[in-house]
This record gives sequence, C-alpha cells and structure tokens, in this order.
Amino acid sequence: MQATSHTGYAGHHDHDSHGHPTGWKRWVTTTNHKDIGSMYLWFSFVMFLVGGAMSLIIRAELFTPGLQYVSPEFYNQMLTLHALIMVFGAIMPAFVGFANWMIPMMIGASDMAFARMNNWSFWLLPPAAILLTASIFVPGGAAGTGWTLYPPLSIQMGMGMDMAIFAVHILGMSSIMGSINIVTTILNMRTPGMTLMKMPLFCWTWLVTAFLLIASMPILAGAVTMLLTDRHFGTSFFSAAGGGDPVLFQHIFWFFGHPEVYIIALPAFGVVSHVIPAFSRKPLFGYVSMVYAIAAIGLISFFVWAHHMYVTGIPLTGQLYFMYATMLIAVPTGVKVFNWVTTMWRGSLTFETPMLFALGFLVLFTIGGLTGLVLAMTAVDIQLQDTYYVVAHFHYVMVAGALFSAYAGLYFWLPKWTGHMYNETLGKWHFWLSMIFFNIAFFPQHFLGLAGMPRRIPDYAQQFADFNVISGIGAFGFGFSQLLVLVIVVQTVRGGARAASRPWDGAHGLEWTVPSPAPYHTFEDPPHFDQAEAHG
Amino acid sequence: MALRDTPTGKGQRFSTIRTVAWALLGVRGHKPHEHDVAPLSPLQILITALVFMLIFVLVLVSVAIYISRQ
Repeated sequence: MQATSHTGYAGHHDHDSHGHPTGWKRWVTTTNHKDIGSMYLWFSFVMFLVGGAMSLIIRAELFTPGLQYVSPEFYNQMLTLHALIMVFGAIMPAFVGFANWMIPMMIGASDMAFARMNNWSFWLLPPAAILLTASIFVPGGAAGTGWTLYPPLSIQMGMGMDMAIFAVHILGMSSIMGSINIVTTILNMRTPGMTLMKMPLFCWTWLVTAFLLIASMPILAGAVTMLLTDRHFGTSFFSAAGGGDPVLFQHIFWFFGHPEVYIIALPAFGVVSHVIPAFSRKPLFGYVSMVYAIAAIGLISFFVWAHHMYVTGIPLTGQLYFMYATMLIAVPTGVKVFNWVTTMWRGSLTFETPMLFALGFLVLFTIGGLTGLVLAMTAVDIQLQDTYYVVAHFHYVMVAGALFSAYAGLYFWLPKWTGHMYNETLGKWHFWLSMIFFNIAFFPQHFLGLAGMPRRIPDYAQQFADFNVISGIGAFGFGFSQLLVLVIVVQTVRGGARAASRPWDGAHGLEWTVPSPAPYHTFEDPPHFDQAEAHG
Repeated sequence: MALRDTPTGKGQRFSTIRTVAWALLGVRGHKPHEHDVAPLSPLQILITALVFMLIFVLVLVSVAIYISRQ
C-alpha cells in the first residue's frame, strides 16, 4: 500500500525561488490550484456566514406569530438572498474548492489544465457576491421573488432584480469555466496507468457534475436573460399581457434547477465515498456500481424537472410521467446508500470527526431522500406544495447532505492542506452540536408542513407557534455552532500536532503519498501509480 | 482477459447495451463489467446511454398516456 513512488514531488521548488509575487499579489495573480482551492473555500465560508445570518433574520421573524422585526418585503429579500447565496455562493464554491485542491493531487497532475482560467473562474465570484449583497441597499431592495425568480413577480421588481440577474450570469460563467477546466484536467492529465475505472470516486463525481454544469448553466443564463429583456427591452417571453407565458419560465428554470440539485449532491457523494472507506479500513464496496449510479443519476436528472411544477396545470399525463421518472431516480441513489452501508459492514470502524460527519450525512440525507420520494407523488405533492414540508425536505438534502459532506471533507483533508492535525475534541463538539441543532431546527418543519404552514410568508396562524419556537431555537443553535469551524480551522492553520503524510491509516490515493502540508508544487513529473492506491 | 473473449461486432453492441442497462439500475458485478467494458470506447457507451434515455422516457410517457386514458 505504501509502494507508490515519491519521485513525483521530489523535484518541486520553493515557489518564491522563481519569482512568484508575495503578499496580496500572490492571491490575486495566482495560478496555483492549491491557492485557488483555498480561496474558493474561504470565499464559500464567508458567504456561508452571510447567508446564515440572513437565515437567522428569517427565523427571528418567525419565532412568534405576527410581524416583529422586519417588513414582509425585507423578509422576502432575506429568504431570496439566503437561498441564492447558500446555493451559488457557499455550497457550489466549497465543492469547487475541494475539486481544485484535490483533483490534481488525486490523479497525479501538476495543476489544473487551464491554470489562468482557473484564477479567472475564482475572481468572478467576489463581484457576483457584491452584486447580490449590495442589492439590499438599492431603491426597491434586493430581489424578493425566492431563488426561483419566477415571473410575473420578477418582472415587477426594482433594480435589485437586475443585480441578481447579472450576478447569476457571472456565477454561471465562473461555473462553466471551472467545469471545462475540471473535465479537461480529468480526461487528459491522469498519471499513466490510472484508467478512468481506477480513478478516485471524487474525480468521477466531479466529472459528471462538470458535464451537468456545462449543460445546465447556459439554460439558467438564457432564462434570466429573457427575464432581463422582458423587464427592459419590451419582449414578452413570460408576460401573458404580451402573449407570453410565465409557466415557460418555470419549465426553463427547473430544467436547470433539477440538475442543479445533483450538481450539489454528486460531489458530496464523492467526498463521503472517500471518508467512509478510510475510517472503515476497507475498500469502497461496489466501486463500479458507484460509477454507474453516478452516471445514471446525472443522466436521469435532466428528465424529471416538472416534479417541481405539479400544481401549475400540467396535464395528467405529464404529472404521471414526471412522478414515475422521479421515483425511478431513487434507484441509483439507493444503490449508493447501500454501498456506503456495505462498505462499513464488518469494517474496523473508528469515529473521528470526518467519519462522524459522513455518518451524519448518510442518515440525514437518507431522510431527505425519503421525503423527496413522498413529494414525488403527485397526489401528495398537491397537498404539500409550498408548505414547510418542502423546506424541511430540501434542507435535509442541502444542509445535512451537502454541508455535512463538505465538513467531512474539510476535516479529512485539513491535515493534508495545513500539515497540522485539527483539534479532535472541538471537531467532535462541532459535529454533535450541528447534528442535534440541525434536527431541532428542521425536523419540526415536517410537522409544520403537514399541518399546512405555507413557506415564504413572514407571519403565520397561532396553531403553528410551538413548532416554530422549537425550529427557531434549533436554527440559532446550529448557526452559532458553525463559528466553531472558524476557530478549528484558524487553530489548525496556525499550528498543532504535525500531520504525517498519511494521517488516516485507512486512506488510499496519490494525495496521501505527498508530504503534509502538500508542497506548493506537486507531481511536476507524473508519479508512478501503484495498483494498491487504486480505488477500483 | 484472453483475446478470443473480446466481443466484436454484434457482440460488442450487445455488451454496450448490457453495460448501459446495468448502469441505469446502478449495480454491476466486477467480473462481467471487466469483460464487457474493456473493448468499448466511452463514446459508444455515451451514445447508447442517450438512446436508452430516449427509450426510457418514451416508455414512461406511453405508460402515463395509457393510464391517464383509463
């Protein structure tokens, strides 16, 4: 297992020795995948805190019935920005950060294929983030349509809507460039001997995700561009008054929006597929079937979009088709869950923080998947559409799915990035606080939804008061627990016990053959790929 | 894998179809996978997968039309 040659990084130079800028110029001009990965991760964490603060404004307002702290208009802006920032500013960049850091090291490449475009992909993000957050302060405030930006509301909004549209354009460009980079890197820069079916699963998930992004992002860009021309240039794509159709927007949006769910979920699956085998001290069960399932999920994700639109008046035949297709996508997803469980079967398990977060992911994501199946049934969804049941469902998928998996990856790879071990006690505190408060915040929302509480409304009837108090306590607890990550990461960057090159004894892959912290330049020459490091 | 086992022509088409069909379920044993996939190009698999997807959608739509007419 340790037979992999170390010659790949032996020839590395100190990056200062060949005239790289230092200080802030290093970060602005860098083309190094590790620097760019770190910037993506820090950016996503900052946006996570901004989006999280917005969610706490929402939960504070919902703590008791009636209007307390914010106006309904501002409430709508908060929930719209919370969603846009969390999806496009926090979770997606976090996984692109992981991709930047880990894909070249996993496949034995010296860097990403298009290193300068990589820099540009990252530096497009801050202007988009500024556009989104600054739109709160313009006349009329930020977009208050919900993240789906449905017309006719989005046609009536003020200039905050235009800022959101431009932000989406910029974020889309960044994602497409990042994806082209990832596809090219994975397909062309694998070390000799690493065939596609011997490639680490994280790279597989990102390969499929990148294709999903390239296929779906232009569709979103098209939708918001039509929105823009409807708003300012006299077109009527989505305006019934001019012969257009607002439901057309929903079709286009969700044709992007559903693959987007898998764009977020697949890299999360990839991370968990590394963490669970490492802490079970067994190879991943069913590597081939995992690859198959990833490809199948990616493909089917383009054919289920209108399950978000059962109540828009689509024909019965359409409702039935989308119900069947949506329920069938659970098959490959179920395969993955069973494979992770089987990987742990009779393994030599230990429960360090990355494993805890991976297990948290496994349990909670399965709950989120199950409620997804409930919502897939047309007859049920007609009752639950736009209630808190939907909010509970997608937070189980997004927070417990994607965020918990991102934390699993963070704690798993932090020793490799920093050269220090994180504080295990604090890490465990972070996990348990997150796990407990997350469920306090979101599990009662299933009951609220079943009882009929509508989403996206700042006020509610007295009968919903108790569960909203519980949910509010959970949300504040969860929100403040996340500050622990900042403490842990800063501590680990500044010092701590030295990390070995392979700090987790069950971890496999080329990334663990380089020292910790990973040198600035790794694998300038393709490393020898040993069969023992293969995942397949 | 011995050379005589390598599927060619019709056999290759069949192994592409078999590979994609298993992929839609998301499960495949390692040995039959090795046997089928080795001689196939990713493009063959991709095109077959897209055709499969088309058939998959058409079958579901037909079932939906049949049921909604009952």
